[in-house]
Amino acid sequence: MATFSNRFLVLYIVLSICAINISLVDSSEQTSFEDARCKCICPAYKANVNSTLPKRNVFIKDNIDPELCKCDYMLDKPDPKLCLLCQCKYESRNTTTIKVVVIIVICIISVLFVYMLFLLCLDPLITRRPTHYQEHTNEEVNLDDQSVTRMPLSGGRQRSIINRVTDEQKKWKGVVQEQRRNIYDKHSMLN
Amino acid sequence: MYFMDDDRSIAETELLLMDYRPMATANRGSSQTNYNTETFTNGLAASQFSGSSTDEDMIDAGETDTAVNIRTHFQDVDREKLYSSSNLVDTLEDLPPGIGQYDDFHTIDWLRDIARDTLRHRQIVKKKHAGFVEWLKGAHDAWSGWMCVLLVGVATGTVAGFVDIGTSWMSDLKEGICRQAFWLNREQCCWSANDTTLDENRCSQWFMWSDLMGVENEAGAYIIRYITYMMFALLFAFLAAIFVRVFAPYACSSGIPEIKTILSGFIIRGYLGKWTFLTKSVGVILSVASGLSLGKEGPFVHIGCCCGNIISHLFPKYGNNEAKKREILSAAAAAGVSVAFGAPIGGVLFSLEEVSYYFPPKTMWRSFFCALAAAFVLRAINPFGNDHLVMFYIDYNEPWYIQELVPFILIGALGGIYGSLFIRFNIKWCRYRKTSVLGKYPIVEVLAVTFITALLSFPNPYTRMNSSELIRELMSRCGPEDNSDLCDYKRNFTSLETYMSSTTAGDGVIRSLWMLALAFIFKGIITIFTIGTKVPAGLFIPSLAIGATLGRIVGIGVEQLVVANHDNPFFYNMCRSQQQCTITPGLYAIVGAAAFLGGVTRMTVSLVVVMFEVTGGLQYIVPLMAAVMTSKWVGDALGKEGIYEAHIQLNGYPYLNSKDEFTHTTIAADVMRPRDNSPFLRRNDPPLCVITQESTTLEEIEHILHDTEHNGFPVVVSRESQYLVGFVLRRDLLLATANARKTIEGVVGESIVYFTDQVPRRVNGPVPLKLRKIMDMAPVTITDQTPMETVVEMFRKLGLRQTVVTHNGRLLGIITKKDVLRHIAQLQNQDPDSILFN
Repeated sequence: MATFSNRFLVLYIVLSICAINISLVDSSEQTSFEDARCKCICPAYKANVNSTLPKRNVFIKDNIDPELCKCDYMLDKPDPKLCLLCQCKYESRNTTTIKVVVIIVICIISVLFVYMLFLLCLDPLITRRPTHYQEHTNEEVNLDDQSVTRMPLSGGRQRSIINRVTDEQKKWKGVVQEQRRNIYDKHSMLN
Repeated sequence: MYFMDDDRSIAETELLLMDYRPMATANRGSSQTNYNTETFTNGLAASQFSGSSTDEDMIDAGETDTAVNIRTHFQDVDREKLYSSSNLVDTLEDLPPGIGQYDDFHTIDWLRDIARDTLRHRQIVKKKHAGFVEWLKGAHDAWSGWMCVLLVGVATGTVAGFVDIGTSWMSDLKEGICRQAFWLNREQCCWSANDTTLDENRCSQWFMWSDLMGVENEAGAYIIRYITYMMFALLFAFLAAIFVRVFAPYACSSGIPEIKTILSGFIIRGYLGKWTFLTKSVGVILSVASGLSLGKEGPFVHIGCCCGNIISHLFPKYGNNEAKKREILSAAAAAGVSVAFGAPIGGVLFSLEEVSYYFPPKTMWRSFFCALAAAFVLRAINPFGNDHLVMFYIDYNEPWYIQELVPFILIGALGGIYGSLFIRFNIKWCRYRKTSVLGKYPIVEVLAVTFITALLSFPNPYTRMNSSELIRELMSRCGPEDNSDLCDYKRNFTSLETYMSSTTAGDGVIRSLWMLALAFIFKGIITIFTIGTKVPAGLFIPSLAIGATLGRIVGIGVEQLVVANHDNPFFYNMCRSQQQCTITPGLYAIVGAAAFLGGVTRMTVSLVVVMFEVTGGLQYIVPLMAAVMTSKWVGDALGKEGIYEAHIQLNGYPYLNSKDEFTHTTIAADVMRPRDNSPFLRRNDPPLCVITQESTTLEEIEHILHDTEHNGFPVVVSRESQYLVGFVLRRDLLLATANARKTIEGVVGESIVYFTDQVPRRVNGPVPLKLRKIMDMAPVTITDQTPMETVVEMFRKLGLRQTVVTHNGRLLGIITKKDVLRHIAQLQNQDPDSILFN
């Protein structure tokens, strides 16, 4: 049952990480990042040699009506001659998608990280008995043998699900170990 | 009843393989169809009928005109038989699982798999009229290919969107954070701010780490930024390396050489699995974000193929048939490139030119559709907020002149030289890693490379920034919004047309030239050491970045040369006056990027298409073609193969390159095993291991399986005559015998295994075992005098796994794909033992 409680521990940590993320999101909910903008780029231009260059030549306004995305509305002091060469573009994006995706990415990385710690630190302590690596033979051939020997002896449905997960995990570990042997030890692949 | 009893005594493992039973002509076939469907409700009777009419068979077979005829009718009958025998309780129901599958690191047999699929398809078509459910099944089968590639495209597009957003956010995390909305990267953070200051693209919402710590001192802030940059780089690289090590070691590197090998008909179990998929997707975000000189485009191809493999399991038609699965994988590779560069057509061509082995028009259309779906989904996600699929999309409409072809070709030549040098040194370094103590510390190596990269790239703004951003900056033209050093020209601001033309360079341009030169040298060298470390790493983006850097340098040089000599007759059409020359250094960067990538990968058509899809400039096809072609010529002159072939050879994957020509005069007898008197003899081969068709016992077969490691055995009439009957694969034999031992009563070690059509009736003795169905009755055979040129073509075009060599109709030997590869390696004076696997 030790593995069982540890599994819950892992799950708890993962959930709390996600909860922290979500609370961060909620606290910083502000409207200063709009999803639409109008951007005008005007060439730097001096009316005569002595006058100074304008300080800026990129003008951005957010949350503007697409109809108004024109040089005349965007510039503080519109110059019709300059406006001929200005390029105004109405652009939109979706910050919600970005937010969701970034949070999901953080969650996945956290989950993987926690699971990795579990595999590297806790798992060897729990399972005590040394797991000998056995040659990765063809799965299909001895699939039925394994399923026969590893049938749960007693217990309810939950127990068998846990067993199945453990079996699956054991199988996966064997596969990864084989891959590791190919790549890091034998250097037969992916050099 | 007499027959039925008899039939039951024959333990027959019915297997779904083609069996050309010489049985019926057209008339007979159709009459039997009626017979079976109408009269027989008991499948036993049908099987009795088909199993016992020997003499008539002979006659009927003699009556048919052509082999083709026989073949189709036999399939009809065979299908019919399968159909009817589904009523049998103990035949089809307990098929051993995994027949038609392959072991890890084995080569697939395209012909057999395609034949299997044809048989399955005909069954479905035949059943289609049996009822609504069957019709529905048929319809599902017909559209499942398109459905599958649609799902693959959607999945690839979605994952690419995630990776794109994650990568750009995480790479900016090295420098600072958007305080009010931490999920935005720097560009998106300042997206709607009107106060974006002109230096370094900063705005009030974007906080450098030094700002957050409240360091005011200029030097102190720089040091803090330096340290945090390096810390984050090391953290990301460490996570990427350890994730790869712990969860899926197959996720490291770019994966294109392996995908090529897999598509050529090789099995690497787990290479396209779920964990590889997850680890590669997360790992590539981390490794790109760490600022290492690598890109996410190569891994996208691998991720796409993982999606293809995972989703094809939803469709048994593709999931259970390795040859058919490769059609989906080809489409998935196209989708990968499609989302990597936002170039759907380029993706299809990439799949065709570079990765795929077998690319019929049907697969091309599916790839087209898959690439379309992927690009569509990615466009809907809009990961960069610029309505384009790549970060470095540029809209170009500048002219170019015919004289400029000279520098373009020069850049192409430089690209070819760099490409071949890169391949040579990268392979040398990888070989060193493979054989030396360095290979024992993969994570330390990654951290060391990251440390050096971060340490040296921070001071130079062109190496500090994300490679995609660098490419975008180098490829774009200097517009009014650019106030960077790169665009610091001495412009005449009293003219409104000053941005339309080139002018003399200011101090900023000179300064940035030095920095670009340093960035070129640094990136060019560090990439050699980065590609091949054990993190997910593609080499498209670094190659493009290196090429774009050099291209921009050359471009600025040419621009200044023309501006300075605007009255030279050679440049007469490029300048109207000194202030009115139109040379675009950004175009040189595009050409340089294409040339360098072409030099490294030796792609041509797909690369040009990708580049013009990225730049949206159709008029640059000629410059791009000229540069890419030159690059390929120069590269091929200096070193024969592209980076992917070089890596395939380094790893010894059994990849039979369909682009190489075989120009030797050897014959099949020189290559086949066992060979006795060939000049290539290196060791004494044991005699060929054969099985006789009706005198081998089960025990003997099990001995053979136990003692030898051959992957297939020819079946002959008898050991004396050595007349070939068929070919049986080790795996199938293993499964069938094990299954017979377990499920069929009375089968013992002394049971005789029959590969013949009839089993003689025996009253005494153990129950015989009939294994005709697992035998390939039509193995491809050649004679010992067949020139190897033909044999190699057969292996390439037909996708053979092995071919049987005969002499005067007698079995002489066998040639496997591995033998062919070994032979080619030998002829090229390479170590033939470097070819791995089976």
